[in-house]
Amino acid sequence: MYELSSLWQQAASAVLQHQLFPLFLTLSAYAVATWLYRQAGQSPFVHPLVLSVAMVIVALKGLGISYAHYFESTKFLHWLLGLSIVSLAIPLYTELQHVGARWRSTLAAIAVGGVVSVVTAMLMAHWLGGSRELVLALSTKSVTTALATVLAHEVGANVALAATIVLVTGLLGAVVGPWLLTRLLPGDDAALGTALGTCAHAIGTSRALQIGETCGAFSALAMGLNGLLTALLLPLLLAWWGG
Amino acid sequence: MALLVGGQLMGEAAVAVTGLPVPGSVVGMVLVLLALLAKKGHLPELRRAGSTMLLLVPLLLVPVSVGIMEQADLLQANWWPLTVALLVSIVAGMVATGLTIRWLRRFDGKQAGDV
Repeated sequence: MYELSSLWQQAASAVLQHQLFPLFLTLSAYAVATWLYRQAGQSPFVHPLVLSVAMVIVALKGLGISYAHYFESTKFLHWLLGLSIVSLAIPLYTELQHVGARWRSTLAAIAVGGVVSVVTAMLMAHWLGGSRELVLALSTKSVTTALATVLAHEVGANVALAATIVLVTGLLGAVVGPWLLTRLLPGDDAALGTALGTCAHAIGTSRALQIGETCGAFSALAMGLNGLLTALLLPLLLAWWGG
Repeated sequence: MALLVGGQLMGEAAVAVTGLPVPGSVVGMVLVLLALLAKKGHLPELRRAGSTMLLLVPLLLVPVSVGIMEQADLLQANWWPLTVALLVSIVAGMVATGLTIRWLRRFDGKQAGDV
């Protein structure tokens, strides 16, 4: 009996300490999360990323694995993010074909909405006594998470905090956006899509796609252009902010 | 796939040479977008590889997002400004986007005659 339990322990520690274990953990958490997301009718509150992050954190805490070790072994997934940003060119190209005559208002709205949401977030946090780290991490809040992590790294913000802020922004935006915009511009799917994409990135866009095709297309376009705009303007904004 | 990696590497190179304060992958995205515009979208391989990449994004984001477990103190110290800042900025951003569209729609109409 004693022999068997020590063998079991040996096997368990071999698995837990293996370089590949964090990858296994990540992939299985993600598989479970995607399944749950589909079961829940793709509600933004059970977004696969939120669920898998929660599961991985619980597992790491339970098994006593440090985040540093975890990240070391799953780093290559993180590296591939750069490619997913390059890939954003594809939906951006497709949606550019659809804006047609509305390009003026759409483009201006994306620029105004993008700048307003970032600046109000940073000012509010600053006035309410948020730390500099928080204010900086808010600067990438309305671009899609993949891009936000890269930008946050670039401007020296706390990357994990920035990623969390982006997720929460997306979830809130997907809920608040349709409610707000149907009061402001009733029946204008293109406007709703633009607002969702500008302020709630990919999570807003998946909400927009549920509302309709036009709404989804404008949202995808707004998300792409706002991301591009933020990437280009953020260094300037922060240079001004930092004095 | 090679085109995507090549796009990013060219972007990284452009950033290294010009010293632009923008991530190389963003420059790569612009380069690929220009390539698509030049080819009028006829890059089937690239589109296939890119779509696959985009489907995987939530998975790729897990490692960095799990890092929030290290930030509990920071969140605890800042939850109030953080919550207010997020709510206010979302409403402000959405209203600003909506109002800009409402105000500019008539120019769209005059220019193109549709909408």
